[in-house]
Amino acid sequence: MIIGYNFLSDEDSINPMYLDIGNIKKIKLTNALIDEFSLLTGIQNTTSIKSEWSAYNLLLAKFQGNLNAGNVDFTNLTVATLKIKRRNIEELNNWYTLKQLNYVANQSDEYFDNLNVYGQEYEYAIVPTTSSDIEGEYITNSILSEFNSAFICEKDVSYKLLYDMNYDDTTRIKPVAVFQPIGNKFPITVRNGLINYDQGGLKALVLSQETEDSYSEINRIKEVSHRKTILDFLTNGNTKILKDFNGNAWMIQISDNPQVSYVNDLSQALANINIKWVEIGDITSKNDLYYENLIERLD
Amino acid sequence: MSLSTPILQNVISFDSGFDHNFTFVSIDSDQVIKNRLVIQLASDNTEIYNEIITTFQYIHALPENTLSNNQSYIAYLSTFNSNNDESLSSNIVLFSCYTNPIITFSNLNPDQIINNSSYEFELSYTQNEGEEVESYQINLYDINNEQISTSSILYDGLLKHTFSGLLDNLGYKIKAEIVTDHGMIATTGYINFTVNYTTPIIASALILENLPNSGKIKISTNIINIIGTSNPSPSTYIDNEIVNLTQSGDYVQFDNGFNLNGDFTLKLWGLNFSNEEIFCTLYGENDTEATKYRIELQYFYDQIFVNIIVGDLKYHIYSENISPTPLSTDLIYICLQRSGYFYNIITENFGT
Repeated sequence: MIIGYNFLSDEDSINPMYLDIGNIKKIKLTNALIDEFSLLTGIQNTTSIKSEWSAYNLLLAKFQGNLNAGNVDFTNLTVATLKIKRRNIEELNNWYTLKQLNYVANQSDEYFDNLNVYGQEYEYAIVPTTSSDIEGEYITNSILSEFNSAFICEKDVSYKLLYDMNYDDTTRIKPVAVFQPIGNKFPITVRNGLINYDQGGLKALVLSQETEDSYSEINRIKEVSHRKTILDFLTNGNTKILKDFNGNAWMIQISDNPQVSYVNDLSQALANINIKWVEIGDITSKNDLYYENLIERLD
Repeated sequence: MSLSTPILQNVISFDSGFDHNFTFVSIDSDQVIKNRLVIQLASDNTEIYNEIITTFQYIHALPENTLSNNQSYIAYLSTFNSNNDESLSSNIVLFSCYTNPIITFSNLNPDQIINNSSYEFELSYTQNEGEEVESYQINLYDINNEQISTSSILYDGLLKHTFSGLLDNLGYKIKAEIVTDHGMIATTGYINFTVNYTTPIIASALILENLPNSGKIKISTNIINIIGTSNPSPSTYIDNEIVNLTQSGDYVQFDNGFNLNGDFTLKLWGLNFSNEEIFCTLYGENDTEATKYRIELQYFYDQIFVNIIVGDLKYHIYSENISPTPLSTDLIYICLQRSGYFYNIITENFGT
């Protein structure tokens, strides 16, 4: 017995019962008026105060006109998908749908957001959605985005740029035509169009996870395959996000052939990768993110 | 001073079925007291309109139906001073007349109830002469006309935009505005609508975690959907708060979405328990009627018995007497805990 109200109140109360009924997968209630039924894993408090669903709940039935006993109320609704949405915390209503997952009952879900910018606080939401795209209540939580180096990433892939990292100077491209009329002392400048974007370059020593984890021993085979993977990534033509822990973030395309410069002092075991990039969109624009295949839905 | 040559300002396309003001400027000039507007067909210079109006204002009001839609015109203007001297003619301005475009929401009526927290607002555009839409913008407002969200100016020609995150039981207003290729502007005006939807509610935590070495944010959630079965089906409820299982053969059963092993805490609030009857049974996965693996909770003369049954073996513990002695209308709280092979049962009578 656990020492409780009935401690020593019956002849077997101090005796453990070495009977194991195995895993419990079915529960039946009958012969009473039942107001609420709750089943929690582990030894929890015995308070008679009714509580909402907690992390320990396996089952909670409130019998409020239905037989729901989970942590969702999908009565009369068939949930088809779960949308994972995100917004900048300061923007009231500008939700981005990052991902739409098929709903599988009683299955935990994980998703990794690569598009976060350092220093930005985000609010995320899980939104249950029916097959007719009716959205349920937004379940939200917020977080301040933090990381510790630079990354170049796509929606589902990310590579860290930490060692010997160098940015080239970035250039803001804003074409200006200068005309020098004969009768004027000063020229006339003309800025036509909306063109206004950054371009730059970077160089970084890329390391495989195996070499990074070993601290001193270089896994040469892994380095070769890792560099090939990164080069394939850099040349796949997809739009990427370049971001760093200063809060910089650009939506970019690689604008020149990536170069590999080997560290000859280490017998070419390691190498730097050098790329040039050009900004091709606004990382805060839902339309740009969608049309560059960085988020799944435009709503 | 003398009369200067007026400058007639550019004319955006307009609907000839309505009055239209032509505006001009006259710099370093005598006071203008009259002006003459001349309008000719652009195709063959046929004069359509040549009128003088008396006004100090730098406008010339063209009456409705003077011109025809789907035609291009040229216009120029001259001014008069108090001596009735006429200025040189202004610059010539080319313009066209088109029927006013009409823009409406094709999937939204005024005061409509939207049963969704996300809605794609679609626009319907008509213009008699086939004038194309250059850009459009849809704005969302709260009921006090404070702008909440905007589509920003769109040039895609799709004439639709989705606003999400609409809150249940709130009123909103929405307005769209389009600009045509020739600069004509049309708006839907403010359209009221309200949002009301049945909400699936998730009580699970949404867990966020920075992964600083990966530069990512990990989003985790855990959704558990358990729906019981019953006899009768549907069950009988009292005030939509209590399920009535007092009739012989009535039951509620949960047999999906959970798997309990190890320690647990079971809590049950109920009333009107049938004496000597089992009111809750937890079945082991190998349980059959022939070979039982189960835990039964039984109401037995103001005590709760816990029967642990494995095959032919049966042990039980029981609670203290429920105090005060329950009436059939008293709400009883029962808590069963298991830690390893130890069990604990407590009760509490809340009264009526």
